[in-house]
Amino acid sequence: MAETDPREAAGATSWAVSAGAETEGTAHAHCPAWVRDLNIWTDEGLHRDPYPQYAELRSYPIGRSDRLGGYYVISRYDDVLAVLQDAVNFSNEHLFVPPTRDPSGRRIPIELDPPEHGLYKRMLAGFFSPQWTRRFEPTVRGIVRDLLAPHVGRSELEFMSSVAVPLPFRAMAVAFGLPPGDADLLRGWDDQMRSGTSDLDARKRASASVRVKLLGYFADLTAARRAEPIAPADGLVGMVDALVAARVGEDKRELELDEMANICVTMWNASLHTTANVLGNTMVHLAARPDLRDRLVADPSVIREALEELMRYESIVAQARLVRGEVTVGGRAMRPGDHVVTLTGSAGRDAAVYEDPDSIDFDRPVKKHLMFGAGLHRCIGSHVARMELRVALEEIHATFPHYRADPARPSRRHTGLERGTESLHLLLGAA
Amino acid sequence: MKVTVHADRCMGHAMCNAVAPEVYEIDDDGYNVMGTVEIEPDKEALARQGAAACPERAIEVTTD
Repeated sequence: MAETDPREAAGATSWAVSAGAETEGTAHAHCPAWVRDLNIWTDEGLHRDPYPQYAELRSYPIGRSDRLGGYYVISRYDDVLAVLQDAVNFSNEHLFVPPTRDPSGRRIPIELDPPEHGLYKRMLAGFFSPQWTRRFEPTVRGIVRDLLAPHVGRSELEFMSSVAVPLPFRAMAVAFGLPPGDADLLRGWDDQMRSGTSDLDARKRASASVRVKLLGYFADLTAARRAEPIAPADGLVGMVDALVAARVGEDKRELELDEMANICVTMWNASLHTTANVLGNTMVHLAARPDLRDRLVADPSVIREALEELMRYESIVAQARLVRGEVTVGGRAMRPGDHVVTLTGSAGRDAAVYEDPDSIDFDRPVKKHLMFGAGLHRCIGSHVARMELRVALEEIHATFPHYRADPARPSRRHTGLERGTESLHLLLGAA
Repeated sequence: MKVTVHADRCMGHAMCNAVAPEVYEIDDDGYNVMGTVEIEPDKEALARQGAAACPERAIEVTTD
């Protein structure tokens, strides 16, 4: 007899998308105007608190917006999982609505579909493996300690700019094997891309120009390393050097410079603000709940589970997919050329999977979540990210056991491609 | 009780091993290739927890 988790009404063996499509027109008879007019990247209500709207979206259960070129909103755990696991019917060619084209062409590996995707994924999965991650942990712990040390004895701390953002930049600079000091250069470009304007088109242009600069930077670096390989620091081969040494495919060929630059830029951008936002979000919730904080201070072994629960509570990523086949999701028939946006943040609050989903409970039996995605394109850096986040929380709770949110300066949050935190002011002294 | 890890659905999240290392082994890259195994009675609860931790629902628990 096959068993299912009692909280999973759909059943653990039901991997296929659900059957019974509604016909055109009837599926959205009850879908209100706000959904048809929803800009999933800029909606003010989502920025403030996306979860009430997500709950409403799950009830439709597939909403459709006419904005951004038109797209379906995938919001239930089962439906998000079904889309992410079906790389045949749901292509990664367009991860954004409306479709945009990266200066590199298609980003490797995230915007590739099988079979092309497999070649790169296998190579990169080996690089960011659990085994490699264990060897990298002491380096990350050292970086976290360096970031926290200047604040010991102080009364307050702006967490995002002091810890959450610099940590992944420094850690990934080592993981990639960048020359010392270049992390600051690349951080400067990143700041350029993100600051100065709230105009979405202007930000898109700034982002494209920084990506062109990054592609040039990594093309130069990989060419230099190919000409003159360097000895790895602490026995850890950096990703740039691993790419130079890699031989891929049946003919065991070297990677081209533009392939390596493309992979580096894709992986670099994917590893920074994602990690920073999850760390920031996690600290937003802990700083508001001294009872939860005290438990982690008293028993650091709970941190691993606490982190999973907080990533379930706020799964930050929203990605689009391009529909390739005739396919049905959540009872809604879709056609080739349609676009869908998957909301992992909504999946994490789905009452069909989690009991009392809007509460934070480190002891809940099912904490699985889709924050790192699922299927072929699940986050390749998940092992490294989990380690970075755990080590950061271990060091923070050991160093600042009394931290709490500054009531005079509330944290600034946003929702979009990622749910994140722009600022988090902490008070560090005993209350 | 048996657990079956569906290799085609395992994407290397490694969460089964994180939750229940005594039951679920992973390879160096984080993938579970153990197939179907019989679970000893004292490890059934752990095996269920590990299965529930898989975001892909790649682990099937069956009882006779």
